[in-house]
Amino acid sequence: MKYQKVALTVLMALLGAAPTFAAPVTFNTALPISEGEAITRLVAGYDEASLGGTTFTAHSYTAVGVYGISPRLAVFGIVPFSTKRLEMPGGARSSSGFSDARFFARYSIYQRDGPGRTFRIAPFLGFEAPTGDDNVRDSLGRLPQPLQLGSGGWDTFGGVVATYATTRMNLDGQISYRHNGEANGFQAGSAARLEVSYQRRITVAAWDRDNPVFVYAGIEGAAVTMGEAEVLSVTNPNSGGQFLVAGPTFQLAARRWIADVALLVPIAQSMNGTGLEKDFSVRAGLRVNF
Amino acid sequence: MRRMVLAVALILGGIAPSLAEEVGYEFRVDGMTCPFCAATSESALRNIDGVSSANADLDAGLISVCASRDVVFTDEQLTELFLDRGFTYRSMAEVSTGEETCRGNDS
Repeated sequence: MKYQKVALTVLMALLGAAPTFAAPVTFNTALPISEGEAITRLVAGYDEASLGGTTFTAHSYTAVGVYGISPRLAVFGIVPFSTKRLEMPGGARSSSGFSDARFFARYSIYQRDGPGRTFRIAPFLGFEAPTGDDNVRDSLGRLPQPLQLGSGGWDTFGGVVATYATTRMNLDGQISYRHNGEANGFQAGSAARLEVSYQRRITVAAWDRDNPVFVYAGIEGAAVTMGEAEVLSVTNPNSGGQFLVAGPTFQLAARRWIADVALLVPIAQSMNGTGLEKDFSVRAGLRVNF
Repeated sequence: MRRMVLAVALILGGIAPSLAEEVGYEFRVDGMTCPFCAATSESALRNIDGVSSANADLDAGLISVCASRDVVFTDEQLTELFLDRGFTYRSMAEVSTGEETCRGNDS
């Protein structure tokens, strides 16, 4: 009984007080976090990339914690757990554990509200701390950098997200830039991203008048350009590149919870050298408000 | 028959004063776009002593509130309450006595 209470308390702490508004599945939103409100979102993800006989897969389980310091300022903490696997003609290597944790702050600089609608702009700035293991080894020795759980370096990122939302649709756009730090003689290339998400309310599935469930269908996409990595200050020509991914999203948003899923597939990509090409990504998230 | 009349009289006698003491308001609040926005706003209002119900109409941007006549709402109070939740309070109107608006509203 005692353990049940502890488990319930932990579960409530993990899932508690999440805002159940429609929002992008794979990036942020400018919609508000109430002052003093604590939020957690759990997201499961799967990514696959391949080239020739080589396939890279990554399962991730990410906990996102958010706290509203004021109606305009919110701070975010993101802790991912990842399982990575690289299959090659000569065998497979893999790693599993907590990856680098990210922290950032978002501040709303513009807000224009109307009846049943809002438009907001919010810049954000943050860093990724080297909390993940950056020296994972197996029987063959140290794993290659893409399989390491952590980068070993301090990375910084920033950008701006804008959201226009009504009771019937949401439109979100985000631009961001990431600079990766150097560690262990390796420095990943910097990356710039442009992300867009459109969600349209297709119906309201109400069990009763006081508990409507908004059902959204949408489309989400990202255009990304990544610089080449450097190994011991020498540029790796088989890293970096550009890609455009997009795909459908589906969300159920109620007063107390939201469930969402997104599938992203490559529309176009031009990876440098023998860099792996993206096959697809899936994200599924759940938020509950107790 | 007498017992039934007495029971009805007692019930009506108990309900009528409480209805008469209730007032209906409509708050115009901008920026609410989702069920959660409605829930968090309604919850904040229901936490005010004397508020018996609060129901949001998202499309209209209105929250209907039933409250005891003893409750005093001010623009400053409501501006801060909704600002803390990320929304914009616009105005308040007393729409009716409770008997017309708040009867049967058990939320």
